[in-house]
Amino acid sequence: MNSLTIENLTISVATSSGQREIVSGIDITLERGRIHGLAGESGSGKTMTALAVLNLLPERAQLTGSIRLAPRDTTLGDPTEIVGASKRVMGAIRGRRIAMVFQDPSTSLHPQLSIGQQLTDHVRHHLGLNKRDATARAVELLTRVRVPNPEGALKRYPHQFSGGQRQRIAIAVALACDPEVLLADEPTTALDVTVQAGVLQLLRELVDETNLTVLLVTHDLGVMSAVADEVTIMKAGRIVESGPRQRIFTAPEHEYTRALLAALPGSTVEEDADTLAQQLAAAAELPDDAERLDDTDFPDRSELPDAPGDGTPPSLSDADLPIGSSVLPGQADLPDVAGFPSRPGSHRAESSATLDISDGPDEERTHV
Amino acid sequence: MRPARATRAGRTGHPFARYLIQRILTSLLLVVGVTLVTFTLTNLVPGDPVAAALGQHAAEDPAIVASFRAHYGVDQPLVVQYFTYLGNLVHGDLGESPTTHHPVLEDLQVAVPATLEIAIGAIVLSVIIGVVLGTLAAYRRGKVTDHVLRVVSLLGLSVPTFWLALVLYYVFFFKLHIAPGSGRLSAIYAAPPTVTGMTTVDALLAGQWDVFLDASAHLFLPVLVLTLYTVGLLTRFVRTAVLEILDMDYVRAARAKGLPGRTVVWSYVLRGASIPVLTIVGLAFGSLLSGTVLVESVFSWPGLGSYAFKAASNLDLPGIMGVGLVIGIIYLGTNLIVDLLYSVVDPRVRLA
Repeated sequence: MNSLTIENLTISVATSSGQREIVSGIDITLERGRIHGLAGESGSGKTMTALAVLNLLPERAQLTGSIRLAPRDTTLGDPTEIVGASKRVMGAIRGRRIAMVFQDPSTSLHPQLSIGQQLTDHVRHHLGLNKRDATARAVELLTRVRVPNPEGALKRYPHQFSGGQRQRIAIAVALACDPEVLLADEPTTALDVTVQAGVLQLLRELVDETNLTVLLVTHDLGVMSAVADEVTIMKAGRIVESGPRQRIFTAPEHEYTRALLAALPGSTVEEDADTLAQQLAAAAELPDDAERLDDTDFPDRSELPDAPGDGTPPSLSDADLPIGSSVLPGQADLPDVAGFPSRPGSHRAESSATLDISDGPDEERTHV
Repeated sequence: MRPARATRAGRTGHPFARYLIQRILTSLLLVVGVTLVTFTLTNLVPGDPVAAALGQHAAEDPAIVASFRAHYGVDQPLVVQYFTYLGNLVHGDLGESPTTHHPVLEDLQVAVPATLEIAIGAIVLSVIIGVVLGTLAAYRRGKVTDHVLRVVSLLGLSVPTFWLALVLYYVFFFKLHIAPGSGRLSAIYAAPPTVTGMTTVDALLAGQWDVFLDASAHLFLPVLVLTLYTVGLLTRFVRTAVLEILDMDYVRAARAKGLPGRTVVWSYVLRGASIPVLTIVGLAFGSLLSGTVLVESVFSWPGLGSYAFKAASNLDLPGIMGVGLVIGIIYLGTNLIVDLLYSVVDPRVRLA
């Protein structure tokens, strides 16, 4: 059953050189209880698409097309249209029916507010719970995302937690009002590789247990191959290819998808950075994107750290959890693919300069 | 881990208490520095305090001059004078003013509360208005409201304080007869018993409502003049700080949670902007104090500004040093309060 339907969605922003399309006529259907992966390089429009679903794009961005949220139960009436929805309608959807997890929990949680306040303020607003009930629910949520000592955690502040725990807390915040759809924008990119697997495992469990629908935005095909049921590949604001994970990863139809897969470490296709860049450029449909790919500078994989860098020892629950098995040869363990080279930073610089909304510092984070 | 932390805390006290003690000790050291600077600068002034205090006729009589010098201790070498001054300070003795013939401490006990009364009134009013206007300007960035507020705050910043004070006094007192005249109270009222030295507060403490209203009316114009400047300053800074916070992920996350706009503003945006805003409020309070000199002389307000002006024009060295010391202490106190407020609003400071 469909939960969220995106039809012919186009996002454009006014720039000094006229109207520029960031996302051009994309269609995505999210099925209830499934994880739908939206992959693509930085600047391909995937984060913009996620923000459009919550109507949170900057005012200058123009939306056309349709985003429809189906009711929890078909007997409850027609789907709600999100494009052009009033503030009141969106107020009842945001956080309540569609929630979002952001890339970097060290910036998406307010550093000056206690975990307890951030976990309960929207619960009290949406569900009308009193302080005690909301606190009880917060403890329950923290237990569910496996944050140790939940009662104590409520009185603490984000900086007192490790990166992985912070992202678990951010997931708990998102799930607090029992939403139907969860938008996860690069939820593991800012995390250490050892912690990534645990967070993805948690997402998978939540989907299986609660029939949650997830739109997982990532540039990391390794993450995608580990947890997504359906995969959509985006490139320069258009959908390149879409389908079940199994087919996308074993029998990609599009040249660009094949190039992306070839770039995964452990891939059987041996290519150096130059040929890969040429291939990507050839697959690109927009000429200015082809230019930008020229200064491709893939990081040396030998320089990538293999240990967490934030000084906190990885907890067993984060590191040792098995993860959904990958369909790619050599892709069985997630940490091995976390060094998947991301696209050059020039993309992001340009897109954020014109948009005010960026995918976040993907590149730097991955290699810290 | 827990017991280890407990013993450490037991030995050195609560980290916040330790921080507080450390900051107070640093401030005391700085006060000593301030005395050195005020003393040196005051004694570098070209001009003879003896001639200024005694007048030319008396200054020509060596016997009078010698007894004057002995009385005020200015016959000693400067280094000795400085240590005498420091030693007296410890006992709360700031010397005697040759102008008023009162101990400087007594003069300051009247002047400081008078100035604090208008300065505190102005800073409270300015923070309320400045935060609201600055936030509004940030939210309406690039729109008409933003442009109007920009002009308003520029006006507040660029209109000279003494000119504004004169114009307001002329309009509200002479023409419209809305505001009362100069001074702190109308002649028909007796000052309430002194507790804080601030007429409004003392009147409230004594339960004298009519005196409180009259004192508030006298406060209105000087506070208004100082407020307009500070509001201009704060509006600009709050706008910048809020704009920066509006770009933060946690604000977008708060919106994604479906929180109502006012909750996002009060709990998330202004909380985030509180540190830069606190910093500028501290600085604004300092500049308010310097602004009071002109305002006080227009409204005949018997505050620190008037006292400093009088002391400076009479080469009243103990008076000048006293004012310098007090202003230094108020600055340090403001800094200390701002630093402590940082740890109130930001757990990263408090729990670090």
